[in-house]
Amino acid sequence: MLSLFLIGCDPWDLPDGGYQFIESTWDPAVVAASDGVYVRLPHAGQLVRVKPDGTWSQVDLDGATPEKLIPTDSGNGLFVVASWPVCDDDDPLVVNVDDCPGEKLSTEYEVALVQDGKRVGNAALDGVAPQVNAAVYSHDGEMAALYLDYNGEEIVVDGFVNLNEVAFVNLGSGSVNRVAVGFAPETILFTGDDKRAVILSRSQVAVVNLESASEDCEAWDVCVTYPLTLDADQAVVPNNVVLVADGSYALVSITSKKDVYVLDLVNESIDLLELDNVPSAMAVDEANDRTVFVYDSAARIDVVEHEFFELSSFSTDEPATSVVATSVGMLAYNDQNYHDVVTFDAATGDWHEQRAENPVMELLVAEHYAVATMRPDNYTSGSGTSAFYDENYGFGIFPLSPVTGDDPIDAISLVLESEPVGLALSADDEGEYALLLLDGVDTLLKVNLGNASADEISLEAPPIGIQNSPDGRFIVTGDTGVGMLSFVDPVDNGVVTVAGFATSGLAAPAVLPRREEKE
Amino acid sequence: MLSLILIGAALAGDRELDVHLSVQGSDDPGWNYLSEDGHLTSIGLRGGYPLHKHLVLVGGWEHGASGMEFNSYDDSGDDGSETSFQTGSYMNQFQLGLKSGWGPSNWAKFYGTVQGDMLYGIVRVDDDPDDDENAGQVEATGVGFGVLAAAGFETAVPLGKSGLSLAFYGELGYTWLAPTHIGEVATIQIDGVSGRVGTGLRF
Repeated sequence: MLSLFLIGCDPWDLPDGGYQFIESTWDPAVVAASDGVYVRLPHAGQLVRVKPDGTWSQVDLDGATPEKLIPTDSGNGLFVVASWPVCDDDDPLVVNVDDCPGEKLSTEYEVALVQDGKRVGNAALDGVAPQVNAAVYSHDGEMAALYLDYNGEEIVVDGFVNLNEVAFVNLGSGSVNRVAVGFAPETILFTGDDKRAVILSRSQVAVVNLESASEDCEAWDVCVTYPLTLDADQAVVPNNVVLVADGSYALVSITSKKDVYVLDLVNESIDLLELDNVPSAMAVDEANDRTVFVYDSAARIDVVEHEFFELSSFSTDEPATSVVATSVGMLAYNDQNYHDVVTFDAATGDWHEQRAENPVMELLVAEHYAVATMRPDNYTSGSGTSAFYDENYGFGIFPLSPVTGDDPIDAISLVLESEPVGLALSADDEGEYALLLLDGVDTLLKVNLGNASADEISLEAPPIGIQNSPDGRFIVTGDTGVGMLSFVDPVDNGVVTVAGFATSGLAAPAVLPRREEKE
Repeated sequence: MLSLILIGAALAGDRELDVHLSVQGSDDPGWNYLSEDGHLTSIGLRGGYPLHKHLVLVGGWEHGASGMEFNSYDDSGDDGSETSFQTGSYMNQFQLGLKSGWGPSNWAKFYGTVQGDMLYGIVRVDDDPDDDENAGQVEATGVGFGVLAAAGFETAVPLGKSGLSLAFYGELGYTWLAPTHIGEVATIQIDGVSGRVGTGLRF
């Protein structure tokens, strides 16, 4: 009432005034954790936690600005790479960042583990390099391996960067163990029992003991190192690694090389598997205890069994760029310019194919269906309906059926209004569903994969992304400057929208933090 | 002798009722996001009641409103798209203090004033000003306290024989308010030179 009196009758008839261009108010790359959704506010230099009850609160990072958020697999918090300004001027009148002379201003970085809205141990993690940008988690979700997965992004070097290190962080206590594993670690896998980690780095593979010291290896030490070359001048860059089901072997593919290394993790030996082409992807078929290779340069699927590592080859109609495991076998597809989606039985070598109308953008696998978003096909010159489909974005539903000799169930191809910007899967007692977001369309399409019918769930603003939340809901980010998240319940289609959190700290000076500490 | 009479007339306190325009400056960078020129311009009402022939109890209210439009890059993708929203800030100051004057005549005097100052700030943010019911509307409020001190010059013109006179005045001083949190949206401080010009009745 007082507000109405002091402002006027229409409180949202805002006065005209100036114009400013500012840094992004919020980063839609949010992290959904079990205790809320964490959002980075670049302009305000804040991290806020948004809850589905409509409230939000600032996470106390002791004045630091979140630069990068790394989610945890289990949803038990997140890692935050943060920076904070340091002013080498003890003048008590220097309070804000703007007060500090430029030549006396510097930036420091740290990494913190945030759980339940606060930093674990109320401090940064000890000794973790702020350049880390990737994390791999143990199967029980209690251990994280943080490392730098360099992908061309700008890296801030504060003194030096140790490119040989992986930091293992216990998510319960926040304790850190740093292990030197070789130059530029690329990929990390935890063994099935979470007692060891297999780490690929340039020209070598290291196995780290994650438990208490044993007879042949200290805890947090590299137990075995598998050199991928004996020539120090030759850089061998691992591309991918898979562990066989019992964790006794690791298969390592090499960038631009036809050879695959077979590492015996029990007997600590190394062998070489020679392929005819450079594999574009590989995946383990745990049910049949085999590894499957596909090639973007050859219409062939190769299978290696895990006892004697003998190779079998099976011709297909088109090359594939990816292969994933499904409930009925391995699924190979191509996200370039081919359209076949092949279901493959790694035990028998039998396969059948379905057809994607357009090239696949993203493919997800549910229990009984695979679904894919597809982009316009600019390389074909069809006519009629095909031409219409080629010109548009599409969505494909691929019913999964065992390779039994019967013809596969035909795929269903839907034409989309605009570019898909988000895809997720859900299921309930009545069926399986795809949740689909389209660019510029302020509805969430819930597609019943059984009959290709869709419910439209209204959103407050055009969406820009969707992701799973640990509580079973989906988080949809909205295209608005003040910040908008919609919590979507896939069971009853209920939507709770929380907006405005990006206004936190909108008009507040950047204060120099930790001045007392310095004194 | 004439001078003494004039001084005596001027020192006699009058009841006052004024309207004025106020400008308050501040170095606080928070203002840059609420006001285009970084200072607070307000209109105000002020009343005075004589406690003593040298002393007037003064109280007033000042209201300032400003708007800003913001654009920022949308971090969601690589298409360089932008998002925009608008802010409106409404600053209401309630002041209470004392004013004492001295002058050579009953139509001109110098005065000084010291007043306590309470700020009630409202900031509204709206990402779709054309829609009064959209979800992206945020309102935040906050209260802050401080003081202002000013010195001024006032001249008055009698309005016939009614006992009323019409006064014009201008004052310059300093206003300080402690940093004030307007909800989670803004943290602002008034800490700078302030000035007022106004007109009113003396009776």
